[in-house]
Amino acid sequence: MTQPFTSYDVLLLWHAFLTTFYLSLCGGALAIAGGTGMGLICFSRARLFAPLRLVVGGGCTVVRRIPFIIVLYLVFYVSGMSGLDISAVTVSILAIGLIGSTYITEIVQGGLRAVGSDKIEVARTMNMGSAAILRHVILPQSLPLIVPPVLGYLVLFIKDTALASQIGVIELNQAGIILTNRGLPTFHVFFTILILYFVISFPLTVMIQKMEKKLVIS
Amino acid sequence: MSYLEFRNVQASYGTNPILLGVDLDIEKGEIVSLIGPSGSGKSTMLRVLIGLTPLSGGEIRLEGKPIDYATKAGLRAVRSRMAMVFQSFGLFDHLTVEQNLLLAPTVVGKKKRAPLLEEMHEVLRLTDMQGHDGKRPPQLSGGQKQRIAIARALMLHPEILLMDEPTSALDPIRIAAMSDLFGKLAAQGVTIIQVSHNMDVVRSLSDRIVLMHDGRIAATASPKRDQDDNAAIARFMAAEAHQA
Repeated sequence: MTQPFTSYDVLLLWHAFLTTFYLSLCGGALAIAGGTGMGLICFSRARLFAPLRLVVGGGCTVVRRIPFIIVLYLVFYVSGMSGLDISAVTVSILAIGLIGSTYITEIVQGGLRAVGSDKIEVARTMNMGSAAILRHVILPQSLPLIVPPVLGYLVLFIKDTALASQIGVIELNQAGIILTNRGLPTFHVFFTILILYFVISFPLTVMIQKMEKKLVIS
Repeated sequence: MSYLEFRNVQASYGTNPILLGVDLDIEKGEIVSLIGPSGSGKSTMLRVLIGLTPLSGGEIRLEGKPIDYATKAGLRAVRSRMAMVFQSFGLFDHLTVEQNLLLAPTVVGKKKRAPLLEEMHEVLRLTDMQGHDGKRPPQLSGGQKQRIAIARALMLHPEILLMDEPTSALDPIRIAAMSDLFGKLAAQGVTIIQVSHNMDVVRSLSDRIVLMHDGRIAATASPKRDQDDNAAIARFMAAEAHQA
């Protein structure tokens, strides 16, 4: 007969579920904010941003070629060496935000560049400034190209939050390992975890589909 | 002193020279048509004049004063006197026709939308596009898009109207109507510089035809005054008409 979950197990899973949700939410928000900002810097042709463009472009190229687990360790050890007293959860959020923002930078930059240069030139001949062109011409046309892949990418990243267990964060994957180590049936434990991951990512998937439809219609 | 003077104007795309020293005088209210083979520098003349392609040499004078393309203020000043109709139309697909027409006057000109509506309806009537103001560009035909691009340029009240193939997507009836409109604008003092491969439009509309070849002016002619120096132009126009 299979051993049922005790109230402690349920509490552990609930806590791990909230941690995974928190990592996804905060890491995703950080990745979107950082990726959008860096994407705009890379897209900008202002001379003022030229050194920043080099740093951001180079940084993104390097970070995207490193496995997430290595980025996680790097952030973990660098924060430790710098003497900052930050929790493993915060380190995980920073690592997710860092690697996520490098991918989102590419998506944002690609979406912005997809707007025809003729339309930007038309706006220039009409004496529109850079900010007005971005607001009235580029963003409305590039958002349908940017938002769905960014959200799709975040769904992929929810699964990668499992790697936070490597630095001691008790998220869903780590909770599963703890429960199986305590003798609970592996299939039951990880099937439950599968459902919990689905609960987090499915609403985001539905949101992407709705947003895609809305953006295409608009 | 002419209204608009090109003096040894040179321009290049990267290392590829396009304009190799163009000298041209244009009077206020004149309709000038630039013709010539592809790559001869016709569109670049328009782009240089409105500051989209930088000059690599020479200068352009407007009412005797050199146009300052190097500063934002100079660019703003010259662009506030011009409007350009692009060959690709360049309409904003996410905006309705009304929003396309009112974007610059409201965002750049800081004008209120309501007083502009009457003017917009008049411009749409002139371009025979009345009743289309709620549509978006993807819902319009090529010819309709072209007329909206012309209407959008007219909303800017340009002193100089630059048009790159402004009748390429129009049927003969619309071409006649648009030619009539351009003639009326010129009579009101609007200077029109157009690039066109439609030799009927060029012949009937132009005060002056400028034939460009390899980044230079090869010949000019004034069809309305029936000058003699247009043998090269006549040959080019005959060849274009034959191809059409």
